[in-house]
Amino acid sequence: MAEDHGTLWEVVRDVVAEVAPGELDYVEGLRLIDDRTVTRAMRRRRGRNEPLGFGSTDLVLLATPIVWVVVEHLVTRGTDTLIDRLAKGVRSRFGKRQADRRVPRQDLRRIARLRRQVEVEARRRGLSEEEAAAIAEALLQRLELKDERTGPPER
Amino acid sequence: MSGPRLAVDTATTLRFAQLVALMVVSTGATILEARNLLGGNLPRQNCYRAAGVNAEIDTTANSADSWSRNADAIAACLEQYPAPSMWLAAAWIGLLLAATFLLFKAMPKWKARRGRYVPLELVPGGQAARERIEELAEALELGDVRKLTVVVDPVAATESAVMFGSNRRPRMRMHRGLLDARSAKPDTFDAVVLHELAHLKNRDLTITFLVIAMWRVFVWLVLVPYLVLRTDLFLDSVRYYSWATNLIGINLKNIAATGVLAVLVYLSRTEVLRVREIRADQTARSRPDVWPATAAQGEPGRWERLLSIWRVHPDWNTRRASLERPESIRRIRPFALALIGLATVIMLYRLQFAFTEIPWPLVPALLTAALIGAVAASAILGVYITQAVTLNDAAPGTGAAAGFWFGLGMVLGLPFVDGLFSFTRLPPHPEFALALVATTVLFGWWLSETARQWTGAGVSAPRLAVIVALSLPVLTILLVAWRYWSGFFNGLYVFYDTDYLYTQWGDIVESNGGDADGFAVKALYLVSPALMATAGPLLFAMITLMWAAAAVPRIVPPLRRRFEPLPSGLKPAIAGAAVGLAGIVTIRLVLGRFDFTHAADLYSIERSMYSWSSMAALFAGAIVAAIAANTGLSRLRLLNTLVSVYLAIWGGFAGFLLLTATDGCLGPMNVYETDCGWRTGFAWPELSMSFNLLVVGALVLAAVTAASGAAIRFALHRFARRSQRPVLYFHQSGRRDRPAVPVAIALVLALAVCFTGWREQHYLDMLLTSTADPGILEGSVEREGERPPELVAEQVRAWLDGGGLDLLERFADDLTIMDDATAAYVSTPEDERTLDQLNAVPEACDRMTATVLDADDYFEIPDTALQQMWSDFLDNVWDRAVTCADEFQTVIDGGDGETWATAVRELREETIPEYKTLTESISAVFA
Repeated sequence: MAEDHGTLWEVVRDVVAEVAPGELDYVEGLRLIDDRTVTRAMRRRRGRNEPLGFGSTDLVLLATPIVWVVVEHLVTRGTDTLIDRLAKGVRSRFGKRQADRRVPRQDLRRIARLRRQVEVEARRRGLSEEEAAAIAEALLQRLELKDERTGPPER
Repeated sequence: MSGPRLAVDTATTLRFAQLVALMVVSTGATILEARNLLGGNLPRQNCYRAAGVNAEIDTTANSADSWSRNADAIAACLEQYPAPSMWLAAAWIGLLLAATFLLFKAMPKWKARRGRYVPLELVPGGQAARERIEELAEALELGDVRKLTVVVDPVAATESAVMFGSNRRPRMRMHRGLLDARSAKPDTFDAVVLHELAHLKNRDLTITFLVIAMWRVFVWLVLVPYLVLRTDLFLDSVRYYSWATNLIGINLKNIAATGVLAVLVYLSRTEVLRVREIRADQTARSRPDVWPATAAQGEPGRWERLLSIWRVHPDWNTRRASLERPESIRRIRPFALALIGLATVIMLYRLQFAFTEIPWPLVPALLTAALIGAVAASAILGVYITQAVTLNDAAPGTGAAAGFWFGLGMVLGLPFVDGLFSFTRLPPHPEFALALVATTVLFGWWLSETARQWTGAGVSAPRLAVIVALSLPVLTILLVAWRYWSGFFNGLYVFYDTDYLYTQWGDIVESNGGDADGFAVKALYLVSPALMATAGPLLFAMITLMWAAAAVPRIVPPLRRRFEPLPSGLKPAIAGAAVGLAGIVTIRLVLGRFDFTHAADLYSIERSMYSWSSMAALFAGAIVAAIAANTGLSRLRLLNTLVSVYLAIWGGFAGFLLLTATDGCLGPMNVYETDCGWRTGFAWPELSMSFNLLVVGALVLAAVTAASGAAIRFALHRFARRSQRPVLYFHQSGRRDRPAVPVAIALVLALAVCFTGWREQHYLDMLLTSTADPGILEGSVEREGERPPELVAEQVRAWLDGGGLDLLERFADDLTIMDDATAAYVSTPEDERTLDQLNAVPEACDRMTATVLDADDYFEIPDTALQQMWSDFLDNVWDRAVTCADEFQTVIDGGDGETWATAVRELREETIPEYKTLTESISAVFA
């Protein structure tokens, strides 16, 4: 068994390919820039009001931001100290490309929390419960986590 | 480029320029103010404080009073401490400009930085997108766009793009979503890219990002430090000067003014950018085959509309409407005009502050400040109003409405910048500020009709320039007049209800044998505001320009074909002049019956009766002309009325001059003279009050009559339910004037111009050479109550520090020397006494006389009781010290020395206790 699930980008691409193949082109483009820049943009909820821009148009993305934010959490959670995060933040802000970050293998105990995170992100972006469940399912599958319980998720 | 497009672009560019100018001016003024607040100008500020002039804390009345009593001492003190140089302001402005330039250069690099954005060529599908961009640029006739750098934001999923950089080095950042849309939704891709390229074509980039860069620098380099300083001062004023409510008010006002300035610049910027966005849409749409305008979205909610003024982009409905009806962009937008008015008033006052810091004479400094402020405002307003009134369906009253919103913006700005207002104090008659709205309404109306008259055959760049050039002097004089009225020299809304004015009139009437509290004084007091308001410099010049510009096509027949002609002919003017002249003839017949031949004095009451009644007759003629000019016309109503009224007045005035000059040859119409002759001796002051009232009053008359005429016409149309609008466009007049008509009009105009020149020369001479009474300069000598004791302590401390203590010490030293020497002399046994022992006494007395003279040149103590004591003390010392110094010689010469001895005894027994009482009283102020 491999030590990890691959890079952050690879995991997101695979999950998006499963639940929203239309967004694959977009995900492809994300490979060109730094992960942290992508994360910051994914967390931003409304577009910037740029002078001499065309103005706001419809946001067409649905699944990618949700998957990215949740998976990115798995990458950074508990592994970066505050200093690491500050340094990386500064580095990404000034355009230094970071090495691709990899998604570590996950414990089965994280299943419920992952589901919850997907649900929260999906609700925030206006997706239905079914869509959230589908995304969560695809993500768990990619992370090779099988949910064998039948009861309600633990709180 | 067509006219309207040119007008829209010019208007927004000028507004950007106004924002830049506002930021530069505010930077200079703010840094000078900060320097003063931090004590960088302390010696000069102390010159005022020691004199009891402390307008920020004190009442206006007390400050004005102290100023007028200490004017010479203040001038002498200021001369001692020259004004600090202006290098600080220059350096700070230089810093602002340099930082702006650096930020302007850095912003594009930041906005396109690697690691976050990817060059278009590196993105899959980028090459094809680049080719399409070049095709679209060609369709837009943009020329070579190879210099255009395009980067992609791979994260942004929206179908949008943004331009930045400069016109010379443009950059476009394309959102990933737009790139993806190129194959799926090619129309959308084209629409967005064309919109962005249109910004390039309209040359929006450099100016937009320059203003943005300057704004950011301005916030951090000027506004924030100033706000910190003011807040600190505010807290200080609450902590240590809680008794000085006005100081707290002024600090609060200045903090609020900073906020207003920030909001104003921000809103103006977003407003102008929204117009630029719409213009970009329209430019893109100029290629409808490639710009499908698919971009219609839902209706905005109420909050969305409210928030939209803060946003750079217009809402989709506005964008769609501007494409369906491109001319809608040229409509008058109240919000924009109010912002321009607000910016103008802030700029005017900041300029005024900065210019009074320059060591220039006050009047030229203030005039220059008003001129610069007006140049900025008139250029913008001129273009705005012209573009609005040249719309096919421009509503009647568009120009007046524009003037109203502009004036309202100015009035709303006044409380934040005018020193007479603060959150804790208002001038006695703040409602006079509304006169500003009335003047700007008149200006807007006049300018709109002038623009309509001059652009009857269409807008072109030269015509636009001429209209703006015409509006410039008119608005400048209006603004100067406004400053003149509102506190420049004779503050109208402060001065109006003062006892001072009433007393002045009373004195004048009483000196002529009248009742100081009688009807004449009351009447003069009532018309005082009108007399003061009409005595402003350059007002005649402005009025002559206003009607002469409209009459020019009449004088130069070739122009008539290219201008919208004035609808009514010369009949109203002739009727008005005839009525005026008939009145003057009647007056002469009546006055001829009295024996006024002894009235040689040009300023006598007999002469005044003739001039006042003649001007009244001419005004009656003007009323006739105004009413006649307003019957049955709907176009160019104000201009038509103005031309008729002033032709009538100046035509009648020509007759008045003729009759006055030939007095003595007119038989029963002779008034003052019995010998026939040609007399042109004429004194302006004799005529000034009545003639000022006539000419400036006629402007109000013309405006009111034209407004009433328009209102009646409007009401009649409503009543008759006739909905068709009057056609406002070019009418070719078939009539041709007889050759004598242009000559006659030109002659009347020439008279008006000559007389105007004469009058203005008089006023300008007076304005620039006279030294205004400082009490009047301050605007008010109203008594507003005693100074609070804490303020007295502050000012007395400044009085002591500024030289008062030195004077007191000099007296103390000399009195001690005098006392000691005399005491030593007295205590010496009589047979051992010599006069040499007393030599020090007359020397000390001599020095004391010099000290008294210095004290006379120094400020009065800013407390009535103390000043009385000080004044008595100085008088007594002077008398005794002079005797003591001068009479000693008689003692040496062997005289009895009784006078000298008495003076010295008084100095010892009375002056020294007086001195002690005085110093104790001064100390008691600080208790």
